[in-house]
Amino acid sequence: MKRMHTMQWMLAGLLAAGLLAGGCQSSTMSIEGPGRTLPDDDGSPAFLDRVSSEPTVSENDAFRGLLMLVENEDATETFEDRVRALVDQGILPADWSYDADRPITRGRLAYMACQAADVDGGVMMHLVGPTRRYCLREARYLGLMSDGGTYGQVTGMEYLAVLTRLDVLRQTGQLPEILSTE
Amino acid sequence: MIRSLILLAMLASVGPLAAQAPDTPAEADPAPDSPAPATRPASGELSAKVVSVAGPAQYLDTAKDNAEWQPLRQGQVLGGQVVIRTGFQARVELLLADRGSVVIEGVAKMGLSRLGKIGDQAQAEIGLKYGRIRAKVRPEAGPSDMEVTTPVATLSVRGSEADICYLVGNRALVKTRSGRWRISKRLGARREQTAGWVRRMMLLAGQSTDSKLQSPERLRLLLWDTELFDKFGITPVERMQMVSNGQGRRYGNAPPGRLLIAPTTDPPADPPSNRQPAHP
Repeated sequence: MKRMHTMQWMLAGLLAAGLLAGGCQSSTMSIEGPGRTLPDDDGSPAFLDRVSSEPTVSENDAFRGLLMLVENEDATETFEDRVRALVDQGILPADWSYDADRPITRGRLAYMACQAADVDGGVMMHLVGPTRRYCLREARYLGLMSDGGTYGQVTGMEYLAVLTRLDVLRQTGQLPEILSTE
Repeated sequence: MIRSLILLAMLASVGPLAAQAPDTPAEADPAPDSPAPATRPASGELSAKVVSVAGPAQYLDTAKDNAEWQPLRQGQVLGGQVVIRTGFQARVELLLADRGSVVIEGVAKMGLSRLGKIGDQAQAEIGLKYGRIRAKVRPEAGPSDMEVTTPVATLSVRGSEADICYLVGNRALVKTRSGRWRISKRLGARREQTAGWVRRMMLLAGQSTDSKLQSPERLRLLLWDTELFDKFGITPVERMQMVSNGQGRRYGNAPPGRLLIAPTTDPPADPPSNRQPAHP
């Protein structure tokens, strides 16, 4: 019995140490392909039309779409400029690693959607802050995104659907029935 | 006397015909080489007028060779073969030959493949690649037939109004506002027994369906939050199981929770009280 008690304390100590180490660890932002550019889309209609046919959406394209949604235009030139602009607006965190050619994941898209829509979230989001996991659950709860895993890739049409709902939610504060997810 | 009266009556009936004869020479004496007069006028192309434009919107005139995307402007008159795409916070309203109208919301791409007239009936064929439109037909302006084709189903109407939306992961495909809509969906060849079949359904005002053409009642049950009494959430399969077998009841026969979405004009009815709960 005493041995069990000791083991419990050891495990608790290890857990606390791990949490402290993880919490105090300061990760820095890394950007792969900072100079990557995109085709010169003639406004958001052309961009959305182009992305709708893509099998996956790269982070470079995804960030351009978010910038067009939030600022009505993408005035940046390179991928690094887009990341900096979204980090400055609080839509992207400053401690993630970014890759221009990497397909955007559902978790990252959910994180950006929640930040762009100023979603407060539930209890867990208040306790641990906005994470990809809980932002995805919140986005599903709000009807912004359909079911799927955090690390799943996003097709062009899925990305378009999320942006459509996000656009309406930002304008009206609610989603009409015709736009609700499955 | 009787003979004279009959003669007068015959003259009176023939008189107007004789008086009209000089005014209508083409009808009385058609040219020998001209085709036979049709009972209905030949089909003609109609035009669409841009009533209003808000936000970024572009159009492509597919009838022209090497056409390029151009910004859409208010008051513009478009032909029967155009593609229109909109951006964020956009809204375009088109008037289709004064018989109907289409409102294209933001983030949408829609094509007008045909806008013509056969006899008195105006016909419009619309293709929706993605996004949301509101189609409306004005029956008081004359007979018209509007057909909206989405990647999953075809909708046709002769005098009503509906919201049509095609987005990946969307629950509803169409929600009618007035009148009746016919919806047909061509089934795929996944099952040999149903290859080539077409599923059809009719929607009344206020009803909606999805890309699988599920019944409006079933879709309405799906719109309710069934996760309220399960803190870990339920999977889509479990949700469908509850809707199919529990008539939308919650765990423990709890009262209905809140809606996941904005309330509709016709709130769902309470489940019948004579049915047993799915999970007692």
